[in-house]
Amino acid sequence: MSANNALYLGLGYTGLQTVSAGLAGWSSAPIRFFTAGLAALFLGEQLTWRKAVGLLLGIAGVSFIVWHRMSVGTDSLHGILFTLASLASIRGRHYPVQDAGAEVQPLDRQRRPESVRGGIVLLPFAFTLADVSDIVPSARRLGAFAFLTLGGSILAYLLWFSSV
Amino acid sequence: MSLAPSIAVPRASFNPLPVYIGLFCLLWSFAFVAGKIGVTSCPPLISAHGAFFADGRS
Repeated sequence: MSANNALYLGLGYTGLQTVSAGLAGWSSAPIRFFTAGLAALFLGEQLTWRKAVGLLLGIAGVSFIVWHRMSVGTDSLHGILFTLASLASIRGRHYPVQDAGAEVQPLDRQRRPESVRGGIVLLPFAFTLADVSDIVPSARRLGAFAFLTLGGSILAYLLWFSSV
Repeated sequence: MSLAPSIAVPRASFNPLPVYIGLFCLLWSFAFVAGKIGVTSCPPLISAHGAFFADGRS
């Protein structure tokens, strides 16, 4: 699972270099559709025709937007492929977790070790394929980093597991 | 004169779930914006590596 996390963020961030944040967000939407569809196929979860039509409409909508953005040249195919690859990697995680009947563990017993392991998996790739001197420190960069850690990860995780 | 027994009226409790869902959607959406800002000033793999370690050590 750590490799899935590492692939998701590594590929996703690589794709973000050449696609807009909006398109990356839109492109991430089909993950729910594919997970629901495959869960119906392999796990026997109920999929009514209404749900199926909804899933297809969702995929069609996202495809339309992505296709349009590519045709007008605002986003590159290269970046979109990286984004889709990152989605495939994280989707590959959801199915086995559900299949194994894994229980949700308390926040810190699950999130922290997984994050550290994801960082370890990425370490050799980060420092062989990227150059540390390319980092440009700035308040903007620091703010984004703080938001991703505090808001996008910790708070979002807390919200998710306090709501389910 | 007889008085009818008083019945406790259940008070409508506030359901925070819609707020949680809205806040989660906002956080999820802004994460793409923050990620985009991040990769404009730092290589993506180092960005991702840093994000994992910061999260794991927090």
